[in-house]
Amino acid sequence: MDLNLTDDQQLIRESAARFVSDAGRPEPGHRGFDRALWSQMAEMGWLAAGISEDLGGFGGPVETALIVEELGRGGRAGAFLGAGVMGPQLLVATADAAATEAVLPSVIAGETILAAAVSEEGAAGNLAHVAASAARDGAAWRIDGAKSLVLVGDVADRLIVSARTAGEADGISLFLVDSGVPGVTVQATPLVDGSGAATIRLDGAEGTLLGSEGEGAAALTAMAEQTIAAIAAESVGIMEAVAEITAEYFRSRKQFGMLLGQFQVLQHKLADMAIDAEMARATLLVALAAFEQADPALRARRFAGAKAASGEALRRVTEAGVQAHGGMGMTEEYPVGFYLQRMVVLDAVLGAPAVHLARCAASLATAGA
Amino acid sequence: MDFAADPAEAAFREEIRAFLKANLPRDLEERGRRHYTPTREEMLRWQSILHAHGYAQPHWAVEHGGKGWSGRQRMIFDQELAKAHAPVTNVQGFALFGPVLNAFGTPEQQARFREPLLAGEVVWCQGFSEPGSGSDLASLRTSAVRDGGKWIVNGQKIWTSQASLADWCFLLARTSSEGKKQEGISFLLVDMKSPGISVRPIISIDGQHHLNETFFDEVAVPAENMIGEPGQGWAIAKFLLNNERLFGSADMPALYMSLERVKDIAARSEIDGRPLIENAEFAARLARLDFDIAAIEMKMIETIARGVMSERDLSIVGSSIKVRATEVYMKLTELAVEALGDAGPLLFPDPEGPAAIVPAPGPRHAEGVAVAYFYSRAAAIYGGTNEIQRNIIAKAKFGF
Repeated sequence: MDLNLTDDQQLIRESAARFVSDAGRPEPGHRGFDRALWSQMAEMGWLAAGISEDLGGFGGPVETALIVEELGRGGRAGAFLGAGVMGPQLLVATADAAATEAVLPSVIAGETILAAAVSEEGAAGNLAHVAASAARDGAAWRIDGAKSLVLVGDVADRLIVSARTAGEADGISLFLVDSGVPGVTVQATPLVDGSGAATIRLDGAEGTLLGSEGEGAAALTAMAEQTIAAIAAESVGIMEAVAEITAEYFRSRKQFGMLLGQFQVLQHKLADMAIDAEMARATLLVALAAFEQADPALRARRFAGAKAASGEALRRVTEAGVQAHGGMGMTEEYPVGFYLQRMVVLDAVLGAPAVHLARCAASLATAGA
Repeated sequence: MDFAADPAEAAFREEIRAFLKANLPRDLEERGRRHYTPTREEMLRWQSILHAHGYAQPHWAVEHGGKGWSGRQRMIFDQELAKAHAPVTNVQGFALFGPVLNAFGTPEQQARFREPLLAGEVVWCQGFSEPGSGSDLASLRTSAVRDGGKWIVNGQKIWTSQASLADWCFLLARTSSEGKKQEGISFLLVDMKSPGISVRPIISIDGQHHLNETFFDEVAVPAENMIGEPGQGWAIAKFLLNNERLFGSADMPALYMSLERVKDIAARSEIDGRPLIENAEFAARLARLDFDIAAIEMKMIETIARGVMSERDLSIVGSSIKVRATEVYMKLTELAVEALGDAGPLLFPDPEGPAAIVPAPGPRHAEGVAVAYFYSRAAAIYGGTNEIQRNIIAKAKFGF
């Protein structure tokens, strides 16, 4: 194991940090999908950073993490999780060479927005909870069902939809669907942090099977692993930003004739944020290391643990950040509240920490028996 | 970054396992398995075996009598020793004093003190805290006054772990009351057989005797037994405490062993007719700690990989790890007692000790569990309380 960044990785981190500091934090009302900004990210190669070289990219989860951490710090990660990680990673994970070759280049170029439509009402993070179904119609497939919390689903050109093609256990397949075809109804559902998502209804919508029929579950798991690592990275950036913003406030705000930073009770709350941020970076590294874990049970436990641990810490830090600012923390214009809003989104994507903790618990019980 | 496993690591681990299989005495293993604190004889016997095989402190530099192992190798070595139930050796000597000797000792001091330590001939104790100087350590009043070729030490130390077993004590004493209180502190090595030293035991809430009060009454210490210069003691103490926070608090083997112990108990205990480990609420609490341990280990690996750090960064990382690792450790010992149910509050005196109860009052797997719970409270207190660690972070990271 070597935790030092290569020169290339160092450059990626620096370029992402520079981008964020140049762009500044987006103002309320300007946090939705920004096509110009998206093209800029594509030009910098960031949409290829998480893709392996043989598929036209130049990196993997580490490169993605470096970018997302900086975007998260600057409040600019909104569209990236959906359009830069979930969609493309799910496509790659299907191992459908023809479809990947046909679609991935324009995704990497920022021309096609590809969204993963994989969650449904009541799924609570369980990607195998799929009620949507697909049936053959000649050479094509017809899909029926509804998908919720489809990140960037409001602006996506194409979707990858999970649907059941056979019985309970192994019958999940993945389909590429154009969001403009008949039978697809996109209801935009703006999220609390200003980013975009959609609820998508499919009524006999035409789709193309990706990979083999009934073998979508493994691809969904692979996509979830990539997404969890990215969320862990974004969470690090957010936690560090919140701790810094809070420290800055403590350096300027006076009450009872003293700077807030002089009150030990507040110093300790800030120290707790810093500890959470330090350990969140370790959580991210555990997730990145889990990509090399060959034991499938331990691998699953580590990714679930990473979602749980980073989610719990992110909630603690962002909630403490708002509290530390008193009334200012409640205002929309002050940046600390934005990170709390973002936390609510990251918490829900792929399921809340409690869901993942329960998975870890079940895995421990099995391992102990 | 590259997270692929190093194939050399597996071979290294096998080498350590083979050594332990061939050389760890059965009686020591059995005591360790039952979680009893090693006696002086046990500690020294095991250390002399390690030394004879070149494993005295293998992560120390070659010129310091080690093998120059990497931090990663050290972690694996410690982990394997803990898994095999090898006795914990003299922490004060190896983890605290040793690095100070290597970094600040003169060649003469190193030549004199290192070999007996490595060979398992002596036990060291630490004289830092005083009745009036706990968190505010720099206010310490034990004095050392120069008298020709000697320092004359007067004062009282408290919480001196293993003082009753120790041959030597490294202590902080005030050699000047001029200037800032930190500037008048010096670092002295005191022979515990010196006239004027008395040790009074303090029985702790685990019912055991680790702690002591140590009194110094006109104790003469040869001037050559000072590490560094007069007034350099505080800087040396900070170096020592940062080591303690990193490698003493994030005691990975202890964390893993405690986790295994809770899992073991939870598999044997039942709730509503089912194994406790299958109880969703209990298992979720354990699962959180299981992941926390993986993260702490990763933090250690990352810290080691960073190599030399600024004092500021070292403070932030050391104090963060100290707080998190001790909290996790304390929760594990708490879960272990809880998991025992009715056997949790049973008193198990050391079966070889004078107060042994025959037959044992409860199941073997309950032995030492409550003792560990009580003693684990100390983890958030020694090396600077966790509240002091938060002060350190607030100051180092944010300037407060």
